[in-house]
Amino acid sequence: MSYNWNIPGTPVFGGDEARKGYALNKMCFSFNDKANRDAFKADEEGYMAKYNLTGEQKDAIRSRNVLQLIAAGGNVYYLAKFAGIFGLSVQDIGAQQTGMSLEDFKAHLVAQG
Amino acid sequence: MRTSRPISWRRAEGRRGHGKVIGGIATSHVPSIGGAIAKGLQQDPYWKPFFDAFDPIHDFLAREKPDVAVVIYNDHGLSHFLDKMPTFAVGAADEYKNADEGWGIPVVPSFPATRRCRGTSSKAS
Repeated sequence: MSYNWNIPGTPVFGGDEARKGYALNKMCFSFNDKANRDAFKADEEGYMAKYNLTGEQKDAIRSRNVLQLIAAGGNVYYLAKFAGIFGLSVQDIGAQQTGMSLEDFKAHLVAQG
Repeated sequence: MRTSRPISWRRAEGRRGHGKVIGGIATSHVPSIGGAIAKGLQQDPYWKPFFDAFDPIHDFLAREKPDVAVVIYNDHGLSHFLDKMPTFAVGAADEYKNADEGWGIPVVPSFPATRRCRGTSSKAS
Protein backbone atom coordinates (compact mmCIF):
# COMPACT_ATOMS: atom_id res chain seq x y z
CA MET A 1 0.00 0.00 0.00
CA SER A 2 1.49 3.35 -1.02
CA TYR A 3 1.94 6.08 1.55
CA ASN A 4 -0.69 8.76 1.03
CA TRP A 5 1.05 12.12 0.85
CA ASN A 6 -2.35 13.77 0.43
CA ILE A 7 -1.15 16.60 -1.83
CA PRO A 8 -3.97 17.34 -4.28
CA GLY A 9 -3.08 16.79 -7.92
CA THR A 10 0.47 15.82 -7.03
CA PRO A 11 1.64 12.22 -7.22
CA VAL A 12 4.78 11.95 -5.10
CA PHE A 13 7.63 9.64 -6.09
CA GLY A 14 8.72 7.88 -2.92
CA GLY A 15 10.03 4.45 -1.99
CA ASP A 16 6.80 2.67 -2.88
CA GLU A 17 6.69 4.28 -6.31
CA ALA A 18 10.38 3.49 -6.85
CA ARG A 19 9.68 -0.21 -6.28
CA LYS A 20 6.53 -0.18 -8.40
CA GLY A 21 8.10 1.64 -11.33
CA TYR A 22 11.52 -0.04 -11.24
CA ALA A 23 11.28 -1.85 -14.59
CA LEU A 24 9.77 1.15 -16.37
CA ASN A 25 12.39 3.55 -14.99
CA LYS A 26 15.21 1.07 -15.68
CA MET A 27 14.15 0.93 -19.31
CA CYS A 28 13.97 4.72 -19.55
CA PHE A 29 17.41 5.01 -17.89
CA SER A 30 18.77 2.99 -20.82
CA PHE A 31 17.61 5.79 -23.15
CA ASN A 32 20.58 7.86 -21.97
CA ASP A 33 22.41 6.19 -24.85
CA LYS A 34 21.54 6.63 -28.51
CA ALA A 35 22.03 2.95 -29.39
CA ASN A 36 19.30 2.04 -26.92
CA ARG A 37 16.96 4.77 -28.13
CA ASP A 38 17.40 3.48 -31.68
CA ALA A 39 16.78 -0.13 -30.57
CA PHE A 40 13.56 0.94 -28.86
CA LYS A 41 12.35 2.82 -31.95
CA ALA A 42 13.10 -0.24 -34.10
CA ASP A 43 11.16 -2.65 -31.90
CA GLU A 44 9.19 -1.12 -29.04
CA GLU A 45 7.44 -4.32 -27.95
CA GLY A 46 10.64 -6.36 -27.94
CA TYR A 47 12.51 -3.68 -26.03
CA MET A 48 9.80 -3.40 -23.37
CA ALA A 49 9.75 -7.19 -23.01
CA LYS A 50 13.51 -7.21 -22.48
CA TYR A 51 13.06 -4.95 -19.46
CA ASN A 52 10.10 -6.97 -18.14
CA LEU A 53 7.68 -4.07 -17.99
CA THR A 54 4.32 -4.83 -16.41
CA GLY A 55 1.17 -4.72 -18.52
CA GLU A 56 0.25 -1.37 -16.98
CA GLN A 57 3.66 0.06 -17.80
CA LYS A 58 3.56 -1.20 -21.39
CA ASP A 59 0.14 0.38 -21.89
CA ALA A 60 1.48 3.65 -20.49
CA ILE A 61 4.47 3.59 -22.86
CA ARG A 62 2.20 2.85 -25.82
CA SER A 63 -0.10 5.71 -24.82
CA ARG A 64 2.77 8.27 -24.56
CA ASN A 65 0.63 9.77 -21.78
CA VAL A 66 2.69 11.34 -18.98
CA LEU A 67 0.07 11.01 -16.25
CA GLN A 68 -0.39 7.37 -17.12
CA LEU A 69 3.37 6.81 -17.04
CA ILE A 70 3.59 8.45 -13.63
CA ALA A 71 0.69 6.33 -12.33
CA ALA A 72 2.60 3.25 -13.53
CA GLY A 73 5.53 4.30 -11.32
CA GLY A 74 7.49 6.43 -13.76
CA ASN A 75 9.92 9.02 -12.38
CA VAL A 76 10.27 12.28 -14.31
CA TYR A 77 14.07 12.13 -14.57
CA TYR A 78 13.82 8.87 -16.50
CA LEU A 79 10.59 9.72 -18.32
CA ALA A 80 12.40 12.79 -19.65
CA LYS A 81 14.76 10.50 -21.54
CA PHE A 82 11.77 8.65 -23.02
CA ALA A 83 10.25 11.99 -24.02
CA GLY A 84 13.56 12.93 -25.65
CA ILE A 85 13.06 10.09 -28.15
CA PHE A 86 10.12 12.05 -29.57
CA GLY A 87 11.91 15.39 -29.41
CA LEU A 88 9.89 16.45 -26.38
CA SER A 89 11.39 18.35 -23.45
CA VAL A 90 10.61 18.44 -19.76
CA GLN A 91 8.51 21.52 -20.46
CA ASP A 92 6.42 19.42 -22.84
CA ILE A 93 5.99 16.90 -20.02
CA GLY A 94 4.94 19.65 -17.64
CA ALA A 95 2.47 21.02 -20.16
CA GLN A 96 0.89 17.61 -20.63
CA GLN A 97 0.73 17.05 -16.87
CA THR A 98 -1.17 20.30 -16.40
CA GLY A 99 -3.36 19.89 -19.47
CA MET A 100 -2.01 23.07 -21.06
CA SER A 101 -0.45 23.74 -24.43
CA LEU A 102 3.33 24.17 -24.34
CA GLU A 103 3.03 27.92 -24.94
CA ASP A 104 0.44 28.31 -22.19
CA PHE A 105 2.62 26.29 -19.84
CA LYS A 106 5.68 28.44 -20.58
CA ALA A 107 3.59 31.59 -20.02
CA HIS A 108 2.41 30.05 -16.75
CA LEU A 109 6.04 29.50 -15.68
CA VAL A 110 6.93 33.09 -16.52
CA ALA A 111 3.91 34.34 -14.59
CA GLN A 112 5.13 32.47 -11.53
CA GLY A 113 8.27 34.62 -11.59
CA MET B 1 37.48 19.06 5.69
CA ARG B 2 40.90 17.48 6.05
CA THR B 3 42.02 14.77 3.69
CA SER B 4 44.44 12.23 5.06
CA ARG B 5 47.80 12.51 3.36
CA PRO B 6 51.02 10.56 3.69
CA ILE B 7 53.38 12.44 5.98
CA SER B 8 56.21 12.31 3.43
CA TRP B 9 54.07 14.17 0.91
CA ARG B 10 53.19 16.86 3.39
CA ARG B 11 56.84 17.35 4.35
CA ALA B 12 58.00 17.36 0.75
CA GLU B 13 55.65 20.17 -0.06
CA GLY B 14 56.57 22.09 3.04
CA ARG B 15 54.03 24.24 4.77
CA ARG B 16 51.62 25.02 1.98
CA GLY B 17 48.43 26.82 2.57
CA HIS B 18 45.12 25.35 1.71
CA GLY B 19 43.38 26.75 -1.34
CA LYS B 20 41.50 29.97 -0.81
CA VAL B 21 37.78 29.88 -1.40
CA ILE B 22 37.01 33.04 -3.33
CA GLY B 23 33.32 32.59 -3.83
CA GLY B 24 30.29 30.44 -4.35
CA ILE B 25 27.92 30.57 -7.28
CA ALA B 26 24.48 29.01 -7.23
CA THR B 27 21.97 28.77 -10.02
CA SER B 28 18.59 27.24 -10.62
CA HIS B 29 18.72 24.53 -13.23
CA VAL B 30 16.21 23.02 -15.60
CA PRO B 31 16.95 20.99 -18.71
CA SER B 32 15.56 23.65 -21.04
CA ILE B 33 18.41 25.99 -20.06
CA GLY B 34 20.89 23.69 -21.76
CA GLY B 35 18.72 23.70 -24.85
CA ALA B 36 18.50 27.51 -24.78
CA ILE B 37 22.29 27.80 -24.59
CA ALA B 38 22.79 25.28 -27.40
CA LYS B 39 20.33 27.16 -29.62
CA GLY B 40 21.72 30.60 -28.72
CA LEU B 41 18.43 31.85 -27.28
CA GLN B 42 19.97 33.97 -24.53
CA GLN B 43 18.58 37.20 -26.03
CA ASP B 44 15.17 35.71 -26.78
CA PRO B 45 12.51 37.62 -24.76
CA TYR B 46 11.55 34.46 -22.91
CA TRP B 47 15.15 33.78 -21.83
CA LYS B 48 16.75 37.22 -21.63
CA PRO B 49 15.75 37.98 -18.00
CA PHE B 50 17.31 34.70 -16.90
CA PHE B 51 20.58 34.97 -18.82
CA ASP B 52 21.11 38.69 -18.13
CA ALA B 53 21.49 37.78 -14.45
CA PHE B 54 24.71 35.95 -15.28
CA ASP B 55 26.56 39.05 -16.58
CA PRO B 56 27.96 39.95 -13.11
CA ILE B 57 29.01 36.31 -12.72
CA HIS B 58 30.94 36.40 -15.98
CA ASP B 59 32.61 39.64 -14.87
CA PHE B 60 33.53 38.09 -11.52
CA LEU B 61 35.07 35.00 -13.12
CA ALA B 62 36.99 37.07 -15.69
CA ARG B 63 38.35 39.27 -12.91
CA GLU B 64 39.18 36.60 -10.32
CA LYS B 65 40.24 33.81 -12.69
CA PRO B 66 39.76 30.92 -10.26
CA ASP B 67 42.06 27.99 -10.95
CA VAL B 68 39.81 25.35 -9.42
CA ALA B 69 36.06 25.05 -9.69
CA VAL B 70 34.30 22.57 -7.42
CA VAL B 71 31.13 21.85 -9.33
CA ILE B 72 28.22 20.37 -7.42
CA TYR B 73 25.31 19.26 -9.53
CA ASN B 74 22.29 16.99 -9.63
CA ASP B 75 22.77 13.76 -11.54
CA HIS B 76 19.14 13.57 -12.71
CA GLY B 77 19.39 9.95 -13.72
CA LEU B 78 22.43 10.33 -15.95
CA SER B 79 25.01 8.29 -14.04
CA HIS B 80 23.06 6.91 -11.10
CA PHE B 81 19.97 4.75 -11.22
CA LEU B 82 17.51 4.00 -8.41
CA ASP B 83 19.38 0.85 -7.43
CA LYS B 84 22.44 2.89 -6.41
CA MET B 85 21.46 6.40 -5.42
CA PRO B 86 23.87 7.98 -2.93
CA THR B 87 22.88 11.32 -1.50
CA PHE B 88 26.34 12.60 -2.29
CA ALA B 89 29.13 11.25 -4.48
CA VAL B 90 32.50 12.68 -5.38
CA GLY B 91 34.15 12.21 -8.77
CA ALA B 92 37.86 11.50 -8.76
CA ALA B 93 38.51 10.58 -12.39
CA ASP B 94 40.52 12.60 -14.88
CA GLU B 95 37.53 13.22 -17.10
CA TYR B 96 33.89 12.36 -17.55
CA LYS B 97 31.99 11.78 -20.74
CA ASN B 98 28.28 11.97 -20.10
CA ALA B 99 25.69 10.31 -22.33
CA ASP B 100 23.76 12.60 -24.62
CA GLU B 101 20.31 11.60 -23.26
CA GLY B 102 18.71 12.38 -26.60
CA TRP B 103 18.22 16.06 -25.89
CA GLY B 104 19.92 17.12 -29.08
CA ILE B 105 22.36 19.37 -27.24
CA PRO B 106 26.16 19.01 -27.01
CA VAL B 107 27.52 16.87 -24.20
CA VAL B 108 29.74 18.45 -21.56
CA PRO B 109 33.29 18.66 -22.95
CA SER B 110 36.04 16.79 -21.10
CA PHE B 111 37.76 18.83 -18.42
CA PRO B 112 40.80 16.81 -17.40
CA ALA B 113 41.83 17.37 -13.79
CA THR B 114 44.75 19.79 -13.59
CA ARG B 115 45.33 18.60 -10.09
CA ARG B 116 44.01 15.60 -8.28
CA CYS B 117 43.79 15.68 -4.50
CA ARG B 118 44.45 12.37 -2.82
CA GLY B 119 41.52 10.68 -1.18
CA THR B 120 38.31 12.50 -1.79
CA SER B 121 37.67 16.10 -2.68
CA SER B 122 37.93 18.60 -5.42
CA LYS B 123 38.50 18.06 -9.08
CA ALA B 124 39.07 20.83 -11.62
CA SER B 125 36.09 20.97 -13.88
